[in-house]
Amino acid sequence: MDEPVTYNVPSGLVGAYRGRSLVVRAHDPSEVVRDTPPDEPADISYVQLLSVGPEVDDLVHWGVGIPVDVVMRSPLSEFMQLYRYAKLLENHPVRITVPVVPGFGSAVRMALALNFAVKLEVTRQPRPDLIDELHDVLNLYLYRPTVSQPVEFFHSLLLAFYRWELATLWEIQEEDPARFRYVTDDGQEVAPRHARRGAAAFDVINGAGTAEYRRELLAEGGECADCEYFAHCGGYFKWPERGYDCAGVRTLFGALSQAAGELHGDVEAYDATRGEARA
Amino acid sequence: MFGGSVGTSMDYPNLHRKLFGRGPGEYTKLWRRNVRAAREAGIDISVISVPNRATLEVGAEAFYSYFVDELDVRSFQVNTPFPGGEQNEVKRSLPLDVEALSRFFIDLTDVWLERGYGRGVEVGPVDELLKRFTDGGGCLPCIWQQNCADEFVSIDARGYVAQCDCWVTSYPEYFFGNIFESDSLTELLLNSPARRQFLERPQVTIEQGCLECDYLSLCHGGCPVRTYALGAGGGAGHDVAVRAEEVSQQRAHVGVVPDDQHPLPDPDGQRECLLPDQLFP
Repeated sequence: MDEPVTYNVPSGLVGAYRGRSLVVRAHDPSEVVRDTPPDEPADISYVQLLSVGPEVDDLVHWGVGIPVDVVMRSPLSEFMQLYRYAKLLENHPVRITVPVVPGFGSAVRMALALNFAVKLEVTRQPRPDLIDELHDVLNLYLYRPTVSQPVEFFHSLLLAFYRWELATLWEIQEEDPARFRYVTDDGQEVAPRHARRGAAAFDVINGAGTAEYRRELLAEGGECADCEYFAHCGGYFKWPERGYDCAGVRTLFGALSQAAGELHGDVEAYDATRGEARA
Repeated sequence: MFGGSVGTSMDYPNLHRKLFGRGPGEYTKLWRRNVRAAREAGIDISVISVPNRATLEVGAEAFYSYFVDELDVRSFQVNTPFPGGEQNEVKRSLPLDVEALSRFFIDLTDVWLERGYGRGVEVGPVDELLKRFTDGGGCLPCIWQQNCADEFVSIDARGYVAQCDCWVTSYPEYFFGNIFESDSLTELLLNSPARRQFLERPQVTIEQGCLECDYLSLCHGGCPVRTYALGAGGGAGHDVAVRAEEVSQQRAHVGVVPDDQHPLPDPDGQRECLLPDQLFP
């Protein structure tokens, strides 16, 4: 059976998408409370706040249990305000979406210290300086004992490596046009943000997803054809510029794959210890 | 009544808790008798204890044995001193050598892990901290909340409103207002300049360098009233406050770091942390 499509809609269009899986977005939490009837929350996967700044008090006691995603635009200037969102944790899981731009690591540190989950938004194909910063954040996520929340896309990739499961970055990042649609403020259905970037946007209406794009990449015989991580990447980092050099991002995949291997080793060693203790 | 459980305060050795006009020995004797009577009546006793100089001299082993083995207390919490209000000789003596205090907490944790963990003995806040490290849960005390200004307020019998019981009993200059002089508690809180300082405190700590600290997620700049109280005397008190906050951070390691890797205060004194007057500019 096909996976259901999730629609990212402005809060004012919630009524038009009743019965579908929704991400409800708004700049101000009060818009969500105003536009979403009390019986609507059952359809809402999460609420997405597009501005860091407005008071969140209205949202604290609304839709208890519904996750809230706070989208940062300028992490270096906005991260100091994250303390104000801590009160949401009383009734909501909270995730901070942090664009991968220079200095984004500070926002990730702040979010994790406040016990928020993090999603890294790849706004453009990362250059070497950003690869270094991504490695810093990956180390935080993997090895700092006080970090107890997931950092996506690292977390889902680590689990995929650990469980030998197939999951592509397009799905993990909620950018697969076959699974996720973005509804513009005037009601037009388009591909999610990253997938929409570049000269050739994905065909959303026919629901082709990324399958054809991935086939093309492999047929071209470029970097992707020999890449051991293609099954998990799916050409995510080759979009929109196919000439992008993936050497840096492959080191990230490598570090995650290695960490999954180490975890396997640790779990096996632990199981062996328990077996010895029982014997 | 009380869910069959009563909390009480006692230190070991007891230096400061006294009956009026009498010494701490007589207080301790009476306290022990009452604890025994409560237990015979089927009431569980939990204890809050504040280490003093003598505690550090006798060490964690004797401290643990006194409460758990001798008095059969199964739940106790170790707090750090809060010398609030006007200073006097006793309050001035309360700040402890941070290195010795760190060692005490580390030793106490080791003793608890060896003799009490998994055997029904709770030692706060170390037990909850261990839960935080092992499964991400744990009910951490107020000193380790992101911002206590989002969590609670305290109102005293005269109607004065302040951040918590410590502030309302000690520092009138940080009162938020008085409920008998305001039509609305909400308005009082919204318009209080003192409360605004509490709400903005995390930003101040982050600006001063806490973001790089491994233990920001537990410390968040430390307990405001302890930081303020220890620094209120000025001079050396500032340094003690700063280092006391480090202890809060170092306790974060306890129980999950091998013995030889327990971080003690930076021997060169190079570690940068916040001064109270930076937290409350």
